Amino acid sequence: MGGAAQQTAFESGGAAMSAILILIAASLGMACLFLAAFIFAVRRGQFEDTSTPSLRMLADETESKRNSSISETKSKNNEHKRRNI
Amino acid sequence: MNTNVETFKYDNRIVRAFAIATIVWGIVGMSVGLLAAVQLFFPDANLNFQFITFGRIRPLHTNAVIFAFVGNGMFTGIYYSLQRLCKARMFSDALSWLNFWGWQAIIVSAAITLPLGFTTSKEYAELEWPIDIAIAIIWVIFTVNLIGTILKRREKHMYVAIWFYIATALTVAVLHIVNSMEIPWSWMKSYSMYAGVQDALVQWWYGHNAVAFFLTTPYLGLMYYFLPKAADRPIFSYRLSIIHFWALIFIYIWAGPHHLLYTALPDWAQSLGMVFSLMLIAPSWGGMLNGLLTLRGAWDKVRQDPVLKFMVVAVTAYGMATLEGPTLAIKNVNALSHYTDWTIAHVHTGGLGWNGFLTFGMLYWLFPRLYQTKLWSTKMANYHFWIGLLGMMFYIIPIYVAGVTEGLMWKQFNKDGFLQYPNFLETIVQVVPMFRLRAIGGSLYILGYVLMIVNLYKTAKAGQFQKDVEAQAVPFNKKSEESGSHLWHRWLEARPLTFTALSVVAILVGGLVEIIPMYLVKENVPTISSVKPYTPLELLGRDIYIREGCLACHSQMIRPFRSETERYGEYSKAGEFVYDHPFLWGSERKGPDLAREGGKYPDAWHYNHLDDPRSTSPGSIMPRYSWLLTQKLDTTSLPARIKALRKVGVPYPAGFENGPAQKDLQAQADKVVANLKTGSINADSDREIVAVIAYLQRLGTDIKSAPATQTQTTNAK
Repeated sequence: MGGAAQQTAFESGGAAMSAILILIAASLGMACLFLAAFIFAVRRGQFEDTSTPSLRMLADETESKRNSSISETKSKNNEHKRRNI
Repeated sequence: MNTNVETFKYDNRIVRAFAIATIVWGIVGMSVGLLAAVQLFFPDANLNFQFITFGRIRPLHTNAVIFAFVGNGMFTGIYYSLQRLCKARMFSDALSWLNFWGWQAIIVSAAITLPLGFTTSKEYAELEWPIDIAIAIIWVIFTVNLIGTILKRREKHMYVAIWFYIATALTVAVLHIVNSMEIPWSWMKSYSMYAGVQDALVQWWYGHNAVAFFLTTPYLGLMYYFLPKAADRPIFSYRLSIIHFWALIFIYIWAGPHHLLYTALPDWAQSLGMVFSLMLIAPSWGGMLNGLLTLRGAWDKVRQDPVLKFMVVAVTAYGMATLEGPTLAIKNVNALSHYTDWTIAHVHTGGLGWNGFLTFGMLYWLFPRLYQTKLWSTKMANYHFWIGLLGMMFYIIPIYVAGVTEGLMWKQFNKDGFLQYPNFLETIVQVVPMFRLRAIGGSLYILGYVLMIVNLYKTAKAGQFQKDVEAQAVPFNKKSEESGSHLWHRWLEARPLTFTALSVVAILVGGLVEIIPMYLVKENVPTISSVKPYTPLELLGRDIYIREGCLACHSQMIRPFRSETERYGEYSKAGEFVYDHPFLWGSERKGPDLAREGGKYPDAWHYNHLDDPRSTSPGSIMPRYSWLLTQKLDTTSLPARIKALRKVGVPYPAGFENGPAQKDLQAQADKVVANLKTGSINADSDREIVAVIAYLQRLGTDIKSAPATQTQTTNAK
């Protein structure tokens, strides 16, 4: 008797899966946090411009020449190179 | 517009400190890996010295390369790029240096405690509880420094790399805290709060996401900064980078159960893990393609510049590893690959290729800039590249071959329906030549690394280090946006240490809130009546099994395949592990599964086998454990261990630890000694070997003693 009940306990591990609740809570918590961050960032206009940020990040090595635009700096560099050659 | 230009200084000293730490710990971690690799074909390479035996140095290797090498590499890249992307110095120099020295102290304590055998046994989370607390605190310090810098940035737009850094900081904190829930029983040892299948699930939720959020997201952030910089061209598609970031972080965290396919984990959890793993291909390849396509039309640069060469291989390796990962997460593939060396090949594609080569590329790019000079030798860097790449190939290809060979041999039946290779040893002897090739590959990789050290040292010597780099920027108008939160920010900026302390308190309170329900949880009651808690002697034996890292090579989880049940016995059930704090399922088989080891061999066989494995199993690659024969068993801490286990739900009777436990222990030890005598071995009952034998003889026997109706096999395959 009771064999069937015990068999299911064998297979499923019984109710011993409470840890998954912690994991789901933690994972969902993280997901919600990121979702909130995403919405917040969109509202702040973080993702409105999807082209110039990738160009601007290239420019920070040339702080001393910050008045010149990226293209100018580049052409200057090229000039230097040409002269060196 | 230019009226309120602010002048400030980037902190390069902290970047240099992390870069040096990266280089130093890298060579340490890789050398330990090589030593472990050599022991797999030459077991005596441990010099019969317990502190450098495979089971103990394997976690040392993984922890060193992940948390020391890649960890410091991550900090190097973040501390350099974050300041420049934010157009601001780090939030607080004090926090930067706390981050640095705290992290190095944690690494040193790991390097001491792991060889000594202080381990929780949970992969990539082996460090014991005091170090776990230190990690949490240092990580909070890093996070505060990161967020603080972002808040005081002068560049309104947050470049995509910053998002990757934020995801890394927040998620690693949560993963670490949830997985490190443990009850201490001494100043350096603890038992996991979770048991058996629950512990396994939490561990691999952590383990998988450690790969995701420690080895992947921060390095993607670094890729998005250093690859465009090195190529001097913008990322292929900025829009794609944003989409793939958000997709990646929402999907990654659910994929953990793919580490437990066909185990005793409930089916639905396995399927969930598999589905999310397959979905991961899209965002992962989004990242890879974005990286590679950045170089379209610039392959001439790649040909000339070693920095870009390293990066191209890194991104390609990332693409391969992230295609292979989901493939391995498919149940049918996993049926073959799990427990084999295939997994090892997979992680080394990611480790050596993605993390290693991206770090190298970054360092070659960074050093000339930190020291305001040119790289000492481009030629030498090119040699490093080719030797390193060759090393990778010599590592990965043989280990793939080994993995597939193992998987196929384990599953092979002959015409009569019996296992073709019933002796596990045959299958491992078959792949030992591959282990030798792997060691050659590892050596080459390290050789290349040494060239890098020389090259970077010479570069530093030739140049002049600039510890503060002056820059100017116009702050963006925060007032109009933030109004209410403005004052709060000002306050925050002025008090980094106060804020850090408050954050630590908040994290600790959060931790407590999570711990308290654990005490209330009653589900840990047994579901199989014949499954009983370990006896005191078995418990001590189990703790020695953990100390020696036996689970690095021996799994304790028989999957429901005929090839496994024929070899090892009845497949493992979730209910069998309810008293296992921590679970010891393992992830690797360099030796046979031990889930049903109990009663298979006489005590005397185990005694001889542990003393010298090759005396009972010629050709075995298992190390000798002769110190177990001489070391005295520590019984003084038995009450503390029993009390700790009772706290996490193991039903030892009240007062058991004050007398009855010691008597029980002595009686069982005497029985083992008597058994050994029949095998003409004279052993003392107070030696560690006695406890280990008692534990091994217990494994899997609870089910065997249950009535036959309950162990009917209904194997699917």
